Amino acid sequence: MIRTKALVKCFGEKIAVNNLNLQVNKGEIYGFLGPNGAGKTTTIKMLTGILYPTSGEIWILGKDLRRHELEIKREIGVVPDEPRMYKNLKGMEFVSFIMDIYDVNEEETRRRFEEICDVFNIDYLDEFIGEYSHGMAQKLMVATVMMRKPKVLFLDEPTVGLDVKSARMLKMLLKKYADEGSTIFMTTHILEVAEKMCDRIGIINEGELIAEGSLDELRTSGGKGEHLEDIFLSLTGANDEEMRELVENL
Amino acid sequence: MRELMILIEYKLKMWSHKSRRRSKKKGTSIPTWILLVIVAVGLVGAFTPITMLLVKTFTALKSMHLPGTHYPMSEVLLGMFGFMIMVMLLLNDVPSIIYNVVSENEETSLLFSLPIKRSVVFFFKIFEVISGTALPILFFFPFLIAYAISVKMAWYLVPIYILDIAALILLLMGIASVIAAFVARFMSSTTAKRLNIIMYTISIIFLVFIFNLLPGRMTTGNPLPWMKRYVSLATDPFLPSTWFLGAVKFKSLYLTLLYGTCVLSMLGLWALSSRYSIDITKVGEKRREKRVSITTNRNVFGPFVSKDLKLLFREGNVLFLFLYPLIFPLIMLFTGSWSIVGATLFAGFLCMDYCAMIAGGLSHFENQAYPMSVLLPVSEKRIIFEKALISSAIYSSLYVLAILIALFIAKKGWMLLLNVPFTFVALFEMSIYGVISYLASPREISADFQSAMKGMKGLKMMLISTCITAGVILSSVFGLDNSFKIPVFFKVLLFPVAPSLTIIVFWYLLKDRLNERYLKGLFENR
Ligand SMILES: Nc1ncnc2c1ncn2[C@@H]1O[C@H](COP(=O)(O)OP(=O)(O)OP(=O)(O)O)[C@@H](O)[C@H]1O
Ligand SMILES: [Mg+2]
Repeated sequence: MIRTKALVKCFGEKIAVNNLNLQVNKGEIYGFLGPNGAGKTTTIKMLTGILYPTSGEIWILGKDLRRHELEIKREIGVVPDEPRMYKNLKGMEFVSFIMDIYDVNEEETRRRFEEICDVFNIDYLDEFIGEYSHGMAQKLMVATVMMRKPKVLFLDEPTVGLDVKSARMLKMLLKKYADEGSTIFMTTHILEVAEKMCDRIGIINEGELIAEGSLDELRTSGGKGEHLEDIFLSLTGANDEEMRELVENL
Repeated sequence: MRELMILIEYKLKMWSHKSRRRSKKKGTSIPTWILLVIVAVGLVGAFTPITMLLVKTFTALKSMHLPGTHYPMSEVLLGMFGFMIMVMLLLNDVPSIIYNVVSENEETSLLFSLPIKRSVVFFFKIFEVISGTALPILFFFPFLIAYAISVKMAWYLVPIYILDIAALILLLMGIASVIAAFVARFMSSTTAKRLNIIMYTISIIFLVFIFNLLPGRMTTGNPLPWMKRYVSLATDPFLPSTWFLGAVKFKSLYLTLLYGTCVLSMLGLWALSSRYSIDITKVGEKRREKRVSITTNRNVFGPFVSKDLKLLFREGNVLFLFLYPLIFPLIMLFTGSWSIVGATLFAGFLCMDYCAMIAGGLSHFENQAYPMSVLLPVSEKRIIFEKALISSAIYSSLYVLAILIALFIAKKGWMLLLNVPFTFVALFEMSIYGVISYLASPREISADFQSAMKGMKGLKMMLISTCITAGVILSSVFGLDNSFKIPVFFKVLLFPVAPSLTIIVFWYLLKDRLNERYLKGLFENR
């Protein structure tokens, strides 16, 4: 469903993503982890056609992204790292705009949207988006993406800013969509989310994929520790002793 | 005081960083002081002829007295301009201070979180507003200088004269701030922002009107009755501008009034500043409806255009950009200072410039919602074309409207209508140019629909609109108007050939940038 070959992205001198080879299969939830500035958002931006890669190839749903860009964009759903929408539209106007643009099945999508609104407590659709709090906007963003039930979903830190209940609901919804055949690619800093939800996990550091596999595979392939947190820290080169010492000295 | 200096320093640094970044991108790094010198030379160059002209006017008016008044006309004129400075500053600064100083925005939130005294933050913001409105004040310098020259002011009086001017401006600032702080209690920040634009517009129209009306009537001899009203207004003893007039002539009463109230208003400001807080709340109760029906509207325009239209008209201020191309040429036609040719040209130029600007502003919406537009299954090219279509459709209608009204007033020159199709195409091209140049450097171009474009890019855009206006409209005007005695061969060159050529060349220049790869790069460039 998602496949990349030797993907590279440079910003001037800086190499943000280096030689990335990914493969995510149908119905899979793939967790993409890494420290700040590792290149997660950059990768998602390339996979969703926001950024052109410097070199390398991307296939989504079996199609070359470069050649079938619009077709692919119609099929996928993206929740960017920041929920930015048109400030001077009201929530409901934005929703109808999205429905019109994607030319979706109206009845079904509307029904699904209303259900999601119930679940997320979205009751502010008649207000301007510019007045939303971060979490409110994030929920609307998630709802407008999920209502289309896309075949492939990209989510960049989707639970940031969501309240406890909404975050739980989102996780359950993602699981359900995956079970029904959607492919999900998400980044997160909350390892518990990754541990519980993801079928496979990729860890990126300084632009390079340093480990990949299910939790068990990660444990055996050199990451020290029982929990994902310990594995993650040892893989990304953080040392527990050193950190403790630094904190002591503060 | 130290804190205030730090804040101001940091603001200046941000401004200079902005300009430095701009010059770096182009590969040439002109030092700031050279730029300053160029600007100064440009200003002096622009002001010198006006000042010379004004010196003549003042000298001529010096010996004239309107019957029943004891002020010579030259002083009446100065008083009138003092009055105008006053009106403009008050009109502009009160809403501007409310919006920038008293209402909450990103910067005030940051500043309030810092360990700085409230009064310092207040004065800092006031400083910012004042430096933002310095331009209109600059505009009046020729009058002030011309007056000083015409009365052959002694050199030792010049510093006092300057002090008088400074006192007047300070006093007005003080009054504006006090009013603003007071009015802010009843006004939401959105209203203030809107009012800001309205006032700006009114003062510009006011200026244009005065500049076209006054010199025309003043020089046509006999003192008309309406002038008496102006004189009594310009010399009303309750107005600060009159105090200024008196202070210039060393009348002790007015000197005390001017400096006394100036000090008083500064003290008032100080008192206000220590109790400064942002206490504007968003008005309007929020009612929450559980279910809102979502209506899809698959109308003729398509979702993108209807969304953009909705956003555009919610921008409020944009209305004035629609009105300018209609109002200004017509004012000039009415006041008789311009002919139909001038009005057509001016309307055409404004349409070209604003067309590009509105198109840029439409792209600003996509920037706000980035990366929304890139994720949608719509190609970049289509987005750009739809935006260009919206803005060129609006300005094409406005242009035709302006021309038709002008033609009905002048009752001649109907041949000019032949040039309209060419203008349509040119307007469309200008809009595309506007979108592209906005996307290429979103920060340098003012997209808030408040004022003309900023910086070098804005200048460049103005230059291009001038060229296109000259190529498409100016040439047609000469080619089509029969009152110009030109051989037929040149007429043909001027009318169908020159506009066509302009359009084709412009298109050729734009075409390069309209490939997918380049456009993608633009949308990527955040
Ligand atoms: N537009 C850009 N121009 C220049 N450098 C960029 C740009 N976008 C990202 N980078 C750089 O690329 C690197 C990767 O950034 P990216 O946003 O992908 O990190 P991330 O893994 O998403 O981090 P976070 O966990 O903080 O979200 C960073 O070093 C960043 O500085
Ligand atoms: Mg990120």
